[in-house]
Amino acid sequence: MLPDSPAGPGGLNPLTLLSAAVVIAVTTTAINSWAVSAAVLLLLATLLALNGLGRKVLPAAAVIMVPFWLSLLLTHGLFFHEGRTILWTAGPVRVTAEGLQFAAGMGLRTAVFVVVCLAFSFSVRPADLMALLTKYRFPPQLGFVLCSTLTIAPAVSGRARRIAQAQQSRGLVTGQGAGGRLRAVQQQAVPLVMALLHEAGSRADSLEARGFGGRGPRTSYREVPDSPAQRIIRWLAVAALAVFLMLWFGPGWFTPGGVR
Amino acid sequence: MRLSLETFYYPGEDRPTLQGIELDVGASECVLVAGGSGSGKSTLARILAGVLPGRHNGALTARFEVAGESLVFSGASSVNPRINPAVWNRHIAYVGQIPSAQLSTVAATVAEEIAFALENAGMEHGLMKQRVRTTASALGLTELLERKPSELSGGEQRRMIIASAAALNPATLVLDEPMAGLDADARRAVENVIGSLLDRGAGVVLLSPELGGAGRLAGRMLLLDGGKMVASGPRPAVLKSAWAARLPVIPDPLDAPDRAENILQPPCPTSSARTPAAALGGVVYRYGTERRRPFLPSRKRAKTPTQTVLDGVDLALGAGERVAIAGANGAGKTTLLRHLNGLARPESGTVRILDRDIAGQSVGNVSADVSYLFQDPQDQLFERTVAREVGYGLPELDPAAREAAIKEALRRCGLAELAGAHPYELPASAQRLVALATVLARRPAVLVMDEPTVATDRDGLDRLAEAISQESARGAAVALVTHDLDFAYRHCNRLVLLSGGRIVADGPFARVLERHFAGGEAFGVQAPAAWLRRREP
Amino acid sequence: MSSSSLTLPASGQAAGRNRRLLEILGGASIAATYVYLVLAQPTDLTNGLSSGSTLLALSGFLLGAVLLIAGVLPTVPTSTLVLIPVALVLNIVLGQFIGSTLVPFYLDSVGTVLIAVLAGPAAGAATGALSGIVWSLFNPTVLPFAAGAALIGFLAGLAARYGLFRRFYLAPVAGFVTGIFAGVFSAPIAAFVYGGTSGIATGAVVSAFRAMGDSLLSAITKQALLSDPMDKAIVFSVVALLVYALPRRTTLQFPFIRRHRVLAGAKTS
Ligand SMILES: Nc1ncnc2c1ncn2[C@@H]1O[C@H](COP(=O)(O)OP(=O)(O)O)[C@@H](O)[C@H]1O
Ligand SMILES: [Mg+2]
Repeated sequence: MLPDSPAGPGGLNPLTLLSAAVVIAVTTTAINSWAVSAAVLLLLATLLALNGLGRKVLPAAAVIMVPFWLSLLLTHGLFFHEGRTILWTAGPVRVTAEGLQFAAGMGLRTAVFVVVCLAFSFSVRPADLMALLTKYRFPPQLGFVLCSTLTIAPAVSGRARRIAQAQQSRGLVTGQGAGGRLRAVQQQAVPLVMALLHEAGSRADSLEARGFGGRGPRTSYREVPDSPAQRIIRWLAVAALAVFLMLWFGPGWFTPGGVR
Repeated sequence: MRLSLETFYYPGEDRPTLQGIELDVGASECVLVAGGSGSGKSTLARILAGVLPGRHNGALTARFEVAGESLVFSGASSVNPRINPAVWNRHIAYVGQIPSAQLSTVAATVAEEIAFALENAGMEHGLMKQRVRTTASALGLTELLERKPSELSGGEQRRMIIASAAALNPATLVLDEPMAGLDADARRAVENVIGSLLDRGAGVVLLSPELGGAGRLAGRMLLLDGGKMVASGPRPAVLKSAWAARLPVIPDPLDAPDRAENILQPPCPTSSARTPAAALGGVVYRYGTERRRPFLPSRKRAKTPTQTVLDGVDLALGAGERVAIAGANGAGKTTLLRHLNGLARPESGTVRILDRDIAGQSVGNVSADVSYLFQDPQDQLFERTVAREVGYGLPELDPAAREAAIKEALRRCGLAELAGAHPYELPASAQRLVALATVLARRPAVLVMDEPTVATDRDGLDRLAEAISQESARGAAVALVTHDLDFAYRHCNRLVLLSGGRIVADGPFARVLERHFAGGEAFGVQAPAAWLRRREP
Repeated sequence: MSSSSLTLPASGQAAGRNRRLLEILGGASIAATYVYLVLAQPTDLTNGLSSGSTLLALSGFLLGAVLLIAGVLPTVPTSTLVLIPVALVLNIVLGQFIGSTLVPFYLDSVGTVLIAVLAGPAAGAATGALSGIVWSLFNPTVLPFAAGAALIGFLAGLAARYGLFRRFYLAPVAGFVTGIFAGVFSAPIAAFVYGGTSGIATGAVVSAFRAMGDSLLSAITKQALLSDPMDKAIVFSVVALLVYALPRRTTLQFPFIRRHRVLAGAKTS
């Protein structure tokens, strides 16, 4: 979710997008089969690519998923001593079909979750979210934190950069590479936090002086697109999801080692 | 609105920060509260705004009369009324001092920022839309309504925030230093906004160290010194007592008495034949050519078309010269300064410091010869005491010499007693002096300063002027970027005008003024009032 | 109502009780989910993992985190509220930065612990939970750990409340202990939801334990017990250094610090 995200695709309400995301993520997790997950993933990727969102969502998802997959491969691909079907061994390393299957199942199911969530956050504007939270009478503080975090992030990085430059101008020489960056972070931390806390204090005054956090009801200037059709679709989706979960897990799903 | 304040103590302080203040503001009336840095202006503003004492736990003894009600605060006792800010701001609205901290950070457009207080008041949607429109058109903001608040210029941001406070049509607005750091155009725009507020019937309390500018809109004024009200009454009468008391307020260049030092031009340095201390040769610089690490991996990298900021700049600073660099906002002044210590690297052209090309040298290494005073002091204060701050990054010296260098710099900036204070607890002007001390302690060959006069009171300005003349007498080249040509006229001997990334005028101060400022204003810069006045007779 | 419309009446009791109820429900939901995961799931998850328990873990923890936030946030004063976004940015930036290096730590709770020290356990817990939720907008894999982050914020607030930030050497000890709780708490989440860890460095540690013949859950728990206490000890020390460097005026502005003498020398006023 970025401050400058476009409006929801096709004028969709963020809640509609959210319910779609939840339905997709929950059903693939419930079904928990690598083949289904892979198919859903493929479908999602095509959909996003057609939508134009793919160029943003897929690389961001890859950045998260590649280390995750490597970690799973390392853990389950090489050492899965519960596995029976041994494909290859060398010392303590035992590559088993079950291990690989487990890694694939987990990896793909998580990938669906990640892509769905990122697609949601990339297509929602923070200000819309704030307006929705206001409309449904959530505490305004929640909307403030969500929105403000996303809008102050660039300001924080700008300030960190200015502090680093001021330190260099006073003779600080930081090396290249991870060590140098770590040292720079350590040098910047105290002044950065000091400056941010100071500024936050003035912001609190400004918010309070404009009546934020009062007890009366709050309204919203911003209007979020919505339609009766979308409202019906949302309810239907949630109801369908509930029915599906009921049928899928059956009545005994909560007992240990229940179905699947 | 009427306030009679006996005392106000911050928690844990044993001396009152404010004492004996009487303030009343009627409809369409502007009252100027003037005082040096640390005189208690912001404290008074926050009391008027109803946020102090609030949960800050200070002890206020005062009586408010607001909207026909009277509220009595009696010291630290627990029976004090607790102001409800959500209702209070319909009568008294407040705009704080630090511009970037005034944004709500939840508004995606200027219209939403203006509507913020209306939303919090629960105003019905149709009414709110209409109110935003009328407020914006009354204050001349209509064309900004769909812009993003974070992308506005400093002056536009200030106007938006004032509009946001004014949207509820409060009877009184409290504005804390609304002009600080703005250039001539932006100042005029904010002045117009304040004028329209007065036209609409609102009372305005203006708190500022400056007597001029928007202060001229005030019919009455009130002088603060050390938290006490030392004078109040009609503006002309109080102006006189401000002079008599020698308060660190900044005089209005239009009606300041012409003291001898206002007119004296500092003598030009005699030695300009040697190699320059710093020299830019044919510097071209464009934004967007430097690659920057993205802050969050998913953040879209800004891909704006590259824009030429410096377009072939040649500039040589001789040892002992005092050079003022002026120009409209966006003319490239700061970028030019940043080339002098390597914070910006030219796309083509050379930067030589003491006859040495600094290409390939890190900023940290260049800093041995070039000291840079940044515009915002809070970006350059890192340590927890003033003395440690001045010692930060000093070249390796033996401890005794280091101590001496720190002491000397503190003395020159008038900070000797504050050596153990936390830099963040000082008033704004003293913070600027701390930053100045860090620069002076390094005894650089080239001293560059970005807007050193902003948010500085008269005491600070005097110290700054003294430092400039001492450094140049020592043989350092001093370059400062400033909007305040009145200050520069008195303390610099050379003026460089920048416009559109090019140097359009460069030479002895008086000669540049004569050649370009016959109309009083050129390249978005206003001629010094003292010079204009001297021309008149 | 008081006689004046400009002032606030004495604080309402009924609203306060409702908020408390939300906080308790949130905490209970998180605790019950955790107990269910640990006790009622004895079968080794590598033999056909129950996706039901994954969903249960996710929804139980998420519900708990949301209830906690809804209960705590409205009671947080504005001066603390404006710090929460700053804390979240610190968490996310440091977390992303460290996650991109090959260090088996996280350092993603500096902001949470900072708020906990300045404003107390409830604000700390809410910040932790919010941190998980907001960060998941950039990196959804952290969403299930929101409840764990809330626990860290809560424990850090307790440590501050009982004076463990008054002396510099006590802070890492408190961090270490918090880390043990945090590790034990988050390991089942990592195991049931993801079947492993999301970083390469942490993954290597898990596979080392797996190579020695541990079950997946115990391997992940051991990895967590290696990383978390150290990580939290570092975070607590960093935060202690930060708050010691803050101006007294800034710290004394927080009622929590004044009331419980969180920092040495800070007098109650
Ligand atoms: N929170 C605080 N606690 C104690 N003293 C303070 C606090 N804020 C400001 N002061 C002190 O009160 C005095 C007045 O400050 P301020 O109102 O900001 O002045 P001005 O706005 O005129 O520069 C200064 O000496 C300042 O150090
Ligand atoms: Mg002030």
